[in-house]
Amino acid sequence: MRKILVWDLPTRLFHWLLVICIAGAWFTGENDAYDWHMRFGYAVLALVLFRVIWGLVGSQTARFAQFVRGPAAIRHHLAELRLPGRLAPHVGHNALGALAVLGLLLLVAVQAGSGLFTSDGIFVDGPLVDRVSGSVASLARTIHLKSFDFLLALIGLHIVAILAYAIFKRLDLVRPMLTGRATVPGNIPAPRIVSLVRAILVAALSASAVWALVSYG
Amino acid sequence: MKHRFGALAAGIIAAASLTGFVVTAQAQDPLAVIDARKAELKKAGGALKAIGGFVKDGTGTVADVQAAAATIDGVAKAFPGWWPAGTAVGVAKSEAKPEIWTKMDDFKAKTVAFQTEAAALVTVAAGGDKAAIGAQLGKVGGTCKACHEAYRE
Repeated sequence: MRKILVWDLPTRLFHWLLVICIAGAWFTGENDAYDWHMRFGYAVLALVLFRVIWGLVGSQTARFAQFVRGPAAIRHHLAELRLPGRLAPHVGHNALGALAVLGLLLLVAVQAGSGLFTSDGIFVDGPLVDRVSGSVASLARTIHLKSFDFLLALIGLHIVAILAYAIFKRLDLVRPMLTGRATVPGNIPAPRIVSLVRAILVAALSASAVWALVSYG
Repeated sequence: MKHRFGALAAGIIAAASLTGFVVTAQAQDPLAVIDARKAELKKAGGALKAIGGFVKDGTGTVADVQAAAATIDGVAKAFPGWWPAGTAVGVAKSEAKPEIWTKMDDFKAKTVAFQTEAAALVTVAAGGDKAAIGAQLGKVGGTCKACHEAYRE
């Protein structure tokens, strides 16, 4: 057994910054601090964009091609879970984790994206409200208000699942997402980690794209 | 003489009743009422935004602000007539929660608050003081928000 880096820094930063920004957006939205609410929303958009691009050019375990598998892989993982005792560590997202990643990214994107076109009809307007018809804006608002319940449910499921892996399968999935490192059998190859410079470029690209969208979209 | 007055009176009563019936009938068409009130409230929102632009960025003139305030005041005055039964969420694109009709006293109270602050905004706008307009605009928006929170989907 040896300790190797399974999650690169950009992926971990993405994960925990997203947690902070979702929490921040939720809190400020509930308490009518809409200036901050929108800043958190823009940050979420940039983070999601970053993650999608990183999923194409990032370190091995961040790439969608590496962890998004078909139904066979999901069935295999479910069979693994049904076996008694410890779960053998897997490098990167397992087949169920893959579903969670995709589902969460999608719902988060819908939440932040719909916000761009949402107005409260009084003082608070998303940056792109004037770009669409009244009906579209109304639909966007409905989605923005209602989709959050689904997102919250999926986040809850995500947390429960992480706990279940820890309790029933003795697999700590939190520590590797914090430190990046996991202890794996010696025969499992360490994943390829790409340069931080690439991450900085992708982050700058994502931030610029979101800034351009909300300023000039 | 007697018959002519009688006929005249009958004619006036009939005309008034017909007018009343026509207005009431139109008012009772749920889809038309929903569309009309949504359009009117959207106009009020636009007027709020315009005044906000003046207060924050100096966009527009005091005359524009006064016109916008008059628009909002008009909407507030006409507001009570827009809530016949059968126009709650589920009918067309209505965003009116059914609680409006189960808590009509509170809805009416919130309407009065809207009307009061909207009328005050007209008065303050006449004075042209940006800070005062900003403050009163906030109060009007507060009445919008209070009602929306309880009664808008």
